[in-house]
Amino acid sequence: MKKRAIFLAIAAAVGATTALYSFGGDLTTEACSGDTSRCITKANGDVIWGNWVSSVPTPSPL
Amino acid sequence: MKTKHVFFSISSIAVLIVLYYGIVGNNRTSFERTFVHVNLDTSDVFTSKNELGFKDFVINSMDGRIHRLITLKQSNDSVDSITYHIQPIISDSMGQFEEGFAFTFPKNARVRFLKDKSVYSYHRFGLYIVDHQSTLILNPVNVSIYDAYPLVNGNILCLGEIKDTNSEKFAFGFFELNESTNETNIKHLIREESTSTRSSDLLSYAGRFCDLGKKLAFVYERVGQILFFDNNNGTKIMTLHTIDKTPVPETVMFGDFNTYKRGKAKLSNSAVLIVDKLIVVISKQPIVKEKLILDVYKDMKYQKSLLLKLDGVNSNDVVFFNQTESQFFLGTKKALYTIPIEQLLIKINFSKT
Repeated sequence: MKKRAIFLAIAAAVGATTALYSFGGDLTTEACSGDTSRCITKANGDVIWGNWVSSVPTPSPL
Repeated sequence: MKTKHVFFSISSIAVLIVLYYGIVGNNRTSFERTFVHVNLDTSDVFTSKNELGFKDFVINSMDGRIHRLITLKQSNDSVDSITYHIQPIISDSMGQFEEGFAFTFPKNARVRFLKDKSVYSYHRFGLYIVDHQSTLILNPVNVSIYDAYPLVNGNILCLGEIKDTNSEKFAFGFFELNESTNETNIKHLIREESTSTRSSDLLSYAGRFCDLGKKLAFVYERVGQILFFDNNNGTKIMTLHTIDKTPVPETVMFGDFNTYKRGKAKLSNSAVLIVDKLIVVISKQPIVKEKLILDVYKDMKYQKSLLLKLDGVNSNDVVFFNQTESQFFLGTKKALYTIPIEQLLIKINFSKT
């Protein structure tokens, strides 16, 4: 039973990680702060302003 | 037990595939630039420093003058509005400021332009027009407005969605709006759908209009394209595909909220100007500390990039951009910079790689 519990816990963690990574809500490498860009919209057109900063590696001249 | 191992292995492989495509996918739009290092010092530009707390800048479409917005009073959540002081800026060496006037807007609305003494903003898919006497919300039936800018002919060029009452389809793109009659005329159709995608498009196709004199450009923040229109009647002239090749971002919905899907949204460009026969694009990819990246195009083809040092400004700081025949204006929350186009031309032509 103990092995089964450990296995289920690992499977749940793997599933949750996959879901989080695939479907947004990232908390570590991207941020929505400041007030220069649209960050979140609602169906009625309300906008939460922020500045979506991506840490995606791109060629840097520095 | 064996079944569990197989299941666990499959789960692990699934995670690795997702991570791999996340990382590789992020690099799909990588590209190489040829850099020219350029410094614009204070003798090259006129700087109007932020002494009173700029919130933003707007242009008066009637006379081309730039105004600054200063937050006077932010009300509490129950009132949900902000009062700004709007003040014209005289771009002369004396840096004198004229008297302005105050307006109150919804908290999340963004002021886009002035038409004489009326202030135009957009809010909840409508245009919000305020003058010293009244507030008018221009929200024509079956029309959703995401962004707007005035044309010389008196109409407004809008980015948004129009529902065709005959076909029941939703046309998304750029259209001309007559604010007196509410008539619309599509100038550039991006897509037609059987259902409305306005909440997601509001994010994916976010950007800004740049007034270039005879031309008007719309620069997407997260799509590697810049559209150019005739400033007189809104006719689309051309599309510049920028070297970042940033694809249209994907969005995801959580209940009533839309946001960008992780790893599927990247920044592209911030603003554009036309110098001589060159198109100069202020890029947002990557954000370089205290420097602006300007990509130069000729005949719609990439030529080279300038790594521009201007008072520590980077492309994420740019909140306003406008161009006249002889100069361009770059606004940040710290200052408004007036840069002679001739100075930039000299830097482009004579700086060494």
